[in-house]
Amino acid sequence: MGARRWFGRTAVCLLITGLLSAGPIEALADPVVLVRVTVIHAKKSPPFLHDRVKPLWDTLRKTFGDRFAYYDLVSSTEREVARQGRVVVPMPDGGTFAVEYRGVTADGRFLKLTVVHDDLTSRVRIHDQGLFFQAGKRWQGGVLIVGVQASSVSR
Amino acid sequence: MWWRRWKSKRAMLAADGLRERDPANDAEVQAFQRLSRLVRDAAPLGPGEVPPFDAVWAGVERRLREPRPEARTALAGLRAMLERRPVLVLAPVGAMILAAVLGVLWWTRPAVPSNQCFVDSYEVESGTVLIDQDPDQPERPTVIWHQVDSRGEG
Repeated sequence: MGARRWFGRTAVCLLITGLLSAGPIEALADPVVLVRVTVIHAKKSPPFLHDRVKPLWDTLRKTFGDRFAYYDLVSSTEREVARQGRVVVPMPDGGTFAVEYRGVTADGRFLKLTVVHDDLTSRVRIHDQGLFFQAGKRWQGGVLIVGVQASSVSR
Repeated sequence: MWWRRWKSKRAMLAADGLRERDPANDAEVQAFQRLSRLVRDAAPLGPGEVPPFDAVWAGVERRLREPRPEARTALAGLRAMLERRPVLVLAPVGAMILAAVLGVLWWTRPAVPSNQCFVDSYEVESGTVLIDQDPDQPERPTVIWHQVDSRGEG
């Protein structure tokens, strides 16, 4: 009887520990998100890394390898948007880059975004605080790389 | 009933008479009488005297200061169970410690956001679209390459 009670208390302690370790439960309602759009001009040479791009260096190196050695920051824009909100960023070649936030998926795991750049429209799902790049537009002897990151904002 | 007591008394007297008539018991009787005398002489109190209060209280205090038997607390029960069946104690305690360590590690883990990206669809009027991603490396961001010029540097 004593052993059974002891095991019961132990199970309760383990359950409480697990719940504390799991962290806060995120609400499934569409949160406001902070969308950050970073436009980078990348070239093969000369080696250069803009100061404000340095925090992204590990990610850029991991993503593009030795394809580029020159990373210059063209613009960095961040804005909080609600569902159906759009962030439009002017591109140095005269075009625009637009990100539309379409809310979270039904299971609450992903943020849904629509990205429009020139004649390309893509719909993606990313994790909270996830980052992806869209690249390929040629400009001034290099390529324009656009990093898109979205993070839910706690309110 | 009275006759039983009377018979018992007569039997006791008869036994005493036999004992007194038996010289073998004289030595035992005399030894008992000496012991009884020693006890009476050793007692400091005479008949009707009251023992000293301080001495009595000192005895009580000495007994009060004696260690009491250990109270049956949870810790004592745990110790007892640890001695009897250590597995029942060590296994849950070890599991709790392991869970606590895992919880601390999980709670203090470095925040590495997953850059896993799913491109559900895309529409393009010109050029080529290439999705560059590595499912085995969720921390590596996906790159959506849009190349209009086939000689693009990407």
